[in-house]
Amino acid sequence: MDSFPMVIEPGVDSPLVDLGAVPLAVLRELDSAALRRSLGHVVEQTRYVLVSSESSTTRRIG
Amino acid sequence: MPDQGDLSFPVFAVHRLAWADFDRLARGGGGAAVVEQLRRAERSRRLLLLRALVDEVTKNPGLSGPLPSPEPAWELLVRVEEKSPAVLDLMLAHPYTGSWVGYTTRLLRDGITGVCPIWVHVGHVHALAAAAAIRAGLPFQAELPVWQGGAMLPTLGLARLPSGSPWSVAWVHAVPGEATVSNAMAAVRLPRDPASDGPGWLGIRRLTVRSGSRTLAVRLDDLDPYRGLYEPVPPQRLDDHDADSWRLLLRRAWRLVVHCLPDIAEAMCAGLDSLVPQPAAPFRQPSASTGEAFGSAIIAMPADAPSLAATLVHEFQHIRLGGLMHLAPLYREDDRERFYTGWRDDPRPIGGVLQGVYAFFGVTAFWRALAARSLGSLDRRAAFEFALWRGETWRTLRVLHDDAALTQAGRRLVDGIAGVLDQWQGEPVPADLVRDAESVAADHYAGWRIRFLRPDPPTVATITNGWLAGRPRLDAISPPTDRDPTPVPDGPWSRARADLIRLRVAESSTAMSEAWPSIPDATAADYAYASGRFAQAELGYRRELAAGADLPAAWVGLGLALAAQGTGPAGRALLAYPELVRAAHRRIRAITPRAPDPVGLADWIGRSVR
Repeated sequence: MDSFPMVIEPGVDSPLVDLGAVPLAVLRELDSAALRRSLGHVVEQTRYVLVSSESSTTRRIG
Repeated sequence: MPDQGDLSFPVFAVHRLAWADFDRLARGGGGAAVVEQLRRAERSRRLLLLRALVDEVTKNPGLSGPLPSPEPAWELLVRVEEKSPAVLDLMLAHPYTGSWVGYTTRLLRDGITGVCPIWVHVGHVHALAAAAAIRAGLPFQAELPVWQGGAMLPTLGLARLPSGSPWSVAWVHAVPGEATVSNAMAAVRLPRDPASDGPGWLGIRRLTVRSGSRTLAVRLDDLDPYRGLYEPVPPQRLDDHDADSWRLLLRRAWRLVVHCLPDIAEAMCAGLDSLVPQPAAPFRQPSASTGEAFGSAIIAMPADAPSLAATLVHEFQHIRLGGLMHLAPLYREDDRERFYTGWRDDPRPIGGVLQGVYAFFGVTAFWRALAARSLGSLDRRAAFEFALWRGETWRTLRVLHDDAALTQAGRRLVDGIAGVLDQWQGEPVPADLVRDAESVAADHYAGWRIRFLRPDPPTVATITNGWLAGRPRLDAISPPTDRDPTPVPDGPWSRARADLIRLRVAESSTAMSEAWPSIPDATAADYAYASGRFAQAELGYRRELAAGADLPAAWVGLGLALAAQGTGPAGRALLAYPELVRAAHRRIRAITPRAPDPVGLADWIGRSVR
């Protein structure tokens, strides 16, 4: 049977593994290099928390 | 360890965003579809952090303190997923699941204690699982951390329990349709609708507002300890009157967002979950968000619906960009605070600037659309804000575009914003409002310069010596740039002139004349300037400088008043490089007993800098 090659639109690839189809019960036991890389990535990412705080001006109150 | 080709170890796909969607987001679009992609990535991110946290605590049982290990919480979440996957998704999507797991991960990684003992933060996983199980209608028992007598069930509410200690443990017991939180001294039964209050129970209020086919449903969360920016915070309960005010304002604001920016409204329905109310701040609309709490905006009680609508758009832009930045780095880490922006009084690092550009791009879009809707009294206010923010955002975006710290994706984002924002620069706005917007922008920029830039000492010495020698002018001095600001401001700042102009534009000259004494830091000279009495303003600022020769707001006010009366070198110098004029003035005062005339010195420097 012929199969069509999957066409992937060009875009941004994240180091974040997609766990959308992985049940929690499975996730607890999973181990692989890809998972460990992704775990390391998100833990490292928590070093940089971007907080946005701007006081825009507005109308008078009261 | 095998990774591919062994079926016991799945090959994971990674989250990705097609450039077409990236570009839609960059242009301020993308609707709900792109937000859903960001949400799916956030879900995976939070699951990974949760897994890492449970792994870590399981290896170090002491981290659980008096609570059980996180394993039973994970098992409870497994049951929730089996019974009701949507509930698990809701709990993972809850903004403060993200901020809690991020915060606790940092504590564990750095081996430090946070606001509470580590077991309280780690133990929040039990609260998360318990809230999920209650939502799913599962029978279960669990133990929860209690902080200052409050046992939090995220997304639901907080049980108040008497406790002799700042941190303790409570039990939760649930059967379908009924849940009780208790300790040795009291028991609190959750109301049938946990969003309502009951004896010992504070429910998280829900706000649901509709406009046409668009429904926005958010929690008004004044309870969750992880709703803040940096550290856990205690509950700050709104009274019912304020909660009703929020409901009313949100209804009106939502109508404006839906009518003005339908695409963003669609996206907001999919991506905004929670508002954290804060007390009102007169003449300001403070708001904030953090990248870890995707879906949450911290907003001070707004003055009116347009303010809230603009702020919702503003914060939602931050939320979307925060989600995107978890997928793709947009800049290389660089914490140096080196940029001017028109929306902050202090120099900003590249990350904050990029966030601000995207947020104020949205704000500009909102006011532009509102100005085009011809709403009578709102027309002039909207047109003024549009003129101001299109200019301020464009100014910063142009500087940002060429910065070496941007990644390829970051530059693509900036290009996408620029493609839209550029087209707005020439759109017609009434000339007097353009002048007002330019005045507010010039005021802010000069105020930033005079406080954060330190002039080159040899240049100041050259100017001082030339002035004291009585030379008619100097050989050409190059205009100083605004690079390399210092982090410490040289003097206080006042936003009074901008507040006065906004008041006049949004309401009337009469309203301004009645209210100006109550505006923080406003002086008679500021009032004269905002009223268009520029000569009187000049005189007033001269007096202010005679009384306090270092006052940044008086130097800049003098520059504005002079520039409004003509295009002479003094006004130009005081708005383009006020730090140089003030530094020379200071040095001359230090050398000679008599202070030079500020206008004379500014004029002389203005004729020398070319």
